[in-house]
Amino acid sequence: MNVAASIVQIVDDDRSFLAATSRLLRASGFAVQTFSSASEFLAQRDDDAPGCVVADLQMPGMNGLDLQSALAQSGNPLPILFLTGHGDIPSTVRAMRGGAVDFLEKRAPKDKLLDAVRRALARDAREREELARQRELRSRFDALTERELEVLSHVVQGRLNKQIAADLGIHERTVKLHRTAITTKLRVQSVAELTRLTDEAGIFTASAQTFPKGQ
Amino acid sequence: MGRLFSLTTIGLFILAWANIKASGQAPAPEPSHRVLVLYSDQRLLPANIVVDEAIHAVFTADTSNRIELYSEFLDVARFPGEQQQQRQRDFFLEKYRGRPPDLVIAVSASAFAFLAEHRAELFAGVPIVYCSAAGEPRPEDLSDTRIANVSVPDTVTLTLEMMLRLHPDARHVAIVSGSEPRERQEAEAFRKELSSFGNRVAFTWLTNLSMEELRGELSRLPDHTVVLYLTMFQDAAGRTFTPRQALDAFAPASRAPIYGYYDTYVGHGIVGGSMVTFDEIGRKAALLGIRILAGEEAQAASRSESYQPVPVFDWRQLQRWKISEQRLPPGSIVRFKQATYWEQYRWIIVAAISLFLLETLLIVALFVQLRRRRVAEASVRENEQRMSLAVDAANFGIWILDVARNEIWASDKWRELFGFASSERLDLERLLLRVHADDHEALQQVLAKALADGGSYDTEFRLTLPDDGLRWISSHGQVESDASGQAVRIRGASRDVTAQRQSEQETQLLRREVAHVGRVTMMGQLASALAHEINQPLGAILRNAEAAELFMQEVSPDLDEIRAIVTDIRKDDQRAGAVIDRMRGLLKRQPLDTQPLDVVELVGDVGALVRADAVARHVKLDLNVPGHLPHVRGDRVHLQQVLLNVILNGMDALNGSRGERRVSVTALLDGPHAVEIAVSDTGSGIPADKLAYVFDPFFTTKPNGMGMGLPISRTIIEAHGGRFWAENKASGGATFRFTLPIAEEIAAR
Repeated sequence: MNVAASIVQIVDDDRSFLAATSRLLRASGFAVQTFSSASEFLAQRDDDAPGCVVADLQMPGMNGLDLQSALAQSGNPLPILFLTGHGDIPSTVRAMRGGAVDFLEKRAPKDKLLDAVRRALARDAREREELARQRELRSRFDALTERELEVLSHVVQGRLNKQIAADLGIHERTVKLHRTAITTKLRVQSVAELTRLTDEAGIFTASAQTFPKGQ
Repeated sequence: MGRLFSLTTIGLFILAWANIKASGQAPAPEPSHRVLVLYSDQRLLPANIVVDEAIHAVFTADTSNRIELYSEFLDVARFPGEQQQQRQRDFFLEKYRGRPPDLVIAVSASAFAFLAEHRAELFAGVPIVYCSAAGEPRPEDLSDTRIANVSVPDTVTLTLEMMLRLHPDARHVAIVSGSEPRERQEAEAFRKELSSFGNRVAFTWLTNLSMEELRGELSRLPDHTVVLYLTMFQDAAGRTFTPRQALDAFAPASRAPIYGYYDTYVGHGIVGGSMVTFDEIGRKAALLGIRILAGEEAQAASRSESYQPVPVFDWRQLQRWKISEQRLPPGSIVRFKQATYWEQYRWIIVAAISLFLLETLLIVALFVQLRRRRVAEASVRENEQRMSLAVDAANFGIWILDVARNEIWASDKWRELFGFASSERLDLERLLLRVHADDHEALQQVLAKALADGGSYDTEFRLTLPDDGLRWISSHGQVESDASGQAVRIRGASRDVTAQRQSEQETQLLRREVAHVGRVTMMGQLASALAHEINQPLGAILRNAEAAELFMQEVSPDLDEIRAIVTDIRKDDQRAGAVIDRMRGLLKRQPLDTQPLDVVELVGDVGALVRADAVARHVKLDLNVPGHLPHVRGDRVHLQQVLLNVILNGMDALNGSRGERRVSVTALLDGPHAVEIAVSDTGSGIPADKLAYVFDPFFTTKPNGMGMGLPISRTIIEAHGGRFWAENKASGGATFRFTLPIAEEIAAR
């Protein structure tokens, strides 16, 4: 994904520190947006914009951890990187459990900060890529008919055409026709690939794990 | 009997009178009226003397008439009998032929009887005034309108009753009476009247006795006997007396008290009796006579008159028979009362006593004065001893400055205190040389002010002694001025207070150290908050510097950006410095350095210091200090420490509290001289049983608390002259309040 399009969102009530951090990240080549409180950020952010959040852990009003949970519940869970004047262990633990990318002291070395920001952006990119692929797969499966999905479910369980035909009470040739339609729509060459793709898309996750006895 | 006047005689009498009238040329002026007083008894009978005098007195006093008075005495006791009466009649007939009376006054029953017998021959048609005496039988015929008689009440019975009242234990009454026929007659009449007394007492009749016999009887009377004396003109032996002479003769022999009803007996042996006095009888007769002579009808005139008997007593007899005057009936007259010494010599006694008292007073006064002088002398000695004891005990040195001569007299102790030899000559300059250079000016000012105002002074200063180092002196003194108000001398007392001052200084030092410990403890609690506070600007500086480096690596660095960065770096450095300064202030040990402080600023500074901590602990910190409050006087750092401590306590109180988490600081005016600052939290408050101990050292409710914060805070506030206390809010949570004095010179502006 396009890293340059990502924006680092900085949230800190200390305007002086906010400005300094913003300068450093801009000088390091990041696109930056600043907010002096968590609520301001949540109100103004672009829901689809990629990037990451650099937030002060201790802020009056909504603090860093509150911001983290608010973000997690939104449709665009940006990775969050916490800065703190002095870290206390309980907050750190909570932050990391909440999925924080990193937890840095405000006076942490520049490289550590920049690395953490890059890591956060990379994670965001990776997550976005994953999400995009999921969406694409989902659209391919969406093209399958009810019957084709039914046949597919038997195919990924390793059933033969003859067995499937018997199970569904249809002609074996009909089963073959459905299989051709499936491989074409899902753009796969082999049964193995079909199975992997189906897995990846998580189509039958709830029911796919049981194999008939004797197979 | 020959007691009759003949008509002839009367006629002659009238004729004679008419002749005299007719002749009219008599050399002496004719009297307007003639009055004859006819007495039953002899001239010297005491009763007669009294009556005669009274009658004379009344008639003489009547100036409207010239009345000629004649007196005749029948003396029936010594000249009894019909014949004798005839002779008297004839004699009077003859005697008064030329001077017939216009009125006759008959004194006593015998005289009236004589008149009644011979009136027709003697004084026909002449009005008669009859003076009867008590106990005499009433004449049978008083119906004649020309007869005036005022009857005397029955004083015999009254007297007897009175006797029995005064002698309630009397069982016998002896009645003494004479042997003359009319006395026998009277006694007999009386005996009948007494029947009503018969059952109360026994009567003994001492009548018909010779004087000797009577005396004998009286001397042998049994106990519980009283004697009633009627009259005694004659005894059984035929001796005649006036009744008073008889009384004089037998009274001394009696062993019982004697009573009588004639006032002529009083003073001659009777205790007393109920009486109508002869003087009154005489006067009333004369007055009636005047009215009758003026034309009133005799009988009618007498009807308007009456007698009121009066109890009369002889004081000496009352004494003799031990009868208290209190027991006498009301209205009693007591005669012969011996004047007491007091009554006799009243003025002499008063004068003597006064003189005596005066003399006594003088002596007492002299004694008192002497004693006072002794006491005063003793007291002065005592005071001197006490004073010297007190002065010694208190280690006082005494000094006196003679202002005019600039000479100092000083006690040995004072010289010792100030390090002067006992013989050394002293003046103010030498004294001041001893004083520590820093206190020199202050002492001079104090003395100068005292001399100018003539009042007292109270001061403390240090001495620099050649061998002994520093010495603290507390000095008190009084300026004495002359009449014109000019200061003459200073008397003073000085004391060595070095030990006291040293211990105070040590205490002060200790307090400072303890305060320091408290501050350090608090700093521990604050460390994390302060780290945040400092990391903030330091972090900003770091980031700015790093950004600048990067910007400068560019081909065409953005100089405006870099300039902004440098400005921000400087600002953040100042921020960090301020935090460091605040910390240093808290950690420094320093004495109170009071100055006018703005409350808003004071509270704001501390608020800034703890704000980060409050945020970290999810506590809302409200600072509500009005800007119009006057400045307070205090030491900024110490007061910051107090506020910090109380605010941190408030935040601690919210640990574990799930409700509202708020600490408020408010300030308001507390009267005209103080500002009150209150720090409240929304915690659970102080348990009621611990409220009293929160200011005790080492009392704490916190697991890691030292229990020094509040005691130190209170010490600091009290050192500022304020008060510090804690209370629970009704709505929950605790409030700590303290007051600070307003900086007066600021307030006055």
